[in-house]
Amino acid sequence: MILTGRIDEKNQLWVSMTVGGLHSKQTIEALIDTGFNGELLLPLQIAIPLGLQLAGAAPYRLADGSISQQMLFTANIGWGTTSRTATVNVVNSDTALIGGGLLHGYILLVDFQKKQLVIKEPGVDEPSPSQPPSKKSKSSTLKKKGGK
Amino acid sequence: MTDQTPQQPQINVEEFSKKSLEFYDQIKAQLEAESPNKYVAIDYETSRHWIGETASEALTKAKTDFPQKIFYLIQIGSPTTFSIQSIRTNDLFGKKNSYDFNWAH
Repeated sequence: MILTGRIDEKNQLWVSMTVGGLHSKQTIEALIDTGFNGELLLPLQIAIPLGLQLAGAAPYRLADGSISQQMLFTANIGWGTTSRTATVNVVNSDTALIGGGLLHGYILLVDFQKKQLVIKEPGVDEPSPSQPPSKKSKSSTLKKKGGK
Repeated sequence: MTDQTPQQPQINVEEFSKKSLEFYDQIKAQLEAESPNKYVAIDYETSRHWIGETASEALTKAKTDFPQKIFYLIQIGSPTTFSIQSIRTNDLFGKKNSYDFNWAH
């Protein structure tokens, strides 16, 4: 799997993906936040219409140092050519976040000078203008269904 | 028209977490010795647990065995599973930690 994102004028890193629940699927653009170690964080207004499946609960540490028990959901996400299940934290915010947990097993390449952002699996060539990406190795820590 | 949406389990987060942590305390020493920093999904009702390299891997294993149940997720050896440095307490929804509405509405 290989996909490109974008770097905005504030040097923030954005990636597009589809997120699906029991009711619907939506394409969103999420901000890569290395201060978040979960997989995906969604604002309430995105999460509720999707009908996310409740998976349980977990302890969270927040920016103000507080620790609280919060609900945890799962969603089907599609990014690049890969679809998988991801854990989802839901908060009252405006921005969807991708955390380090979702990037586990991937390589994140960021070129702030050229404003280029690439996420790829190990063993996958970087895209070049004349050549489509090819896969050298099948090694991956993520379950792949492919096709989408 | 009949609602075909699967029924979501209801949860009182405070009570669910308390019982889950009581069970986790019983297996904590063994898990910290054998699987430090990995994720574990636990079910206090059946006294079972599932370990994964990632949060979703642990939960997927647990859901495979019990699709209708909900689980408590812990990163082994850490007091918290998730850290969100851009979110404060006021950004959380439902301060009462009790959510009995159906998300798949």
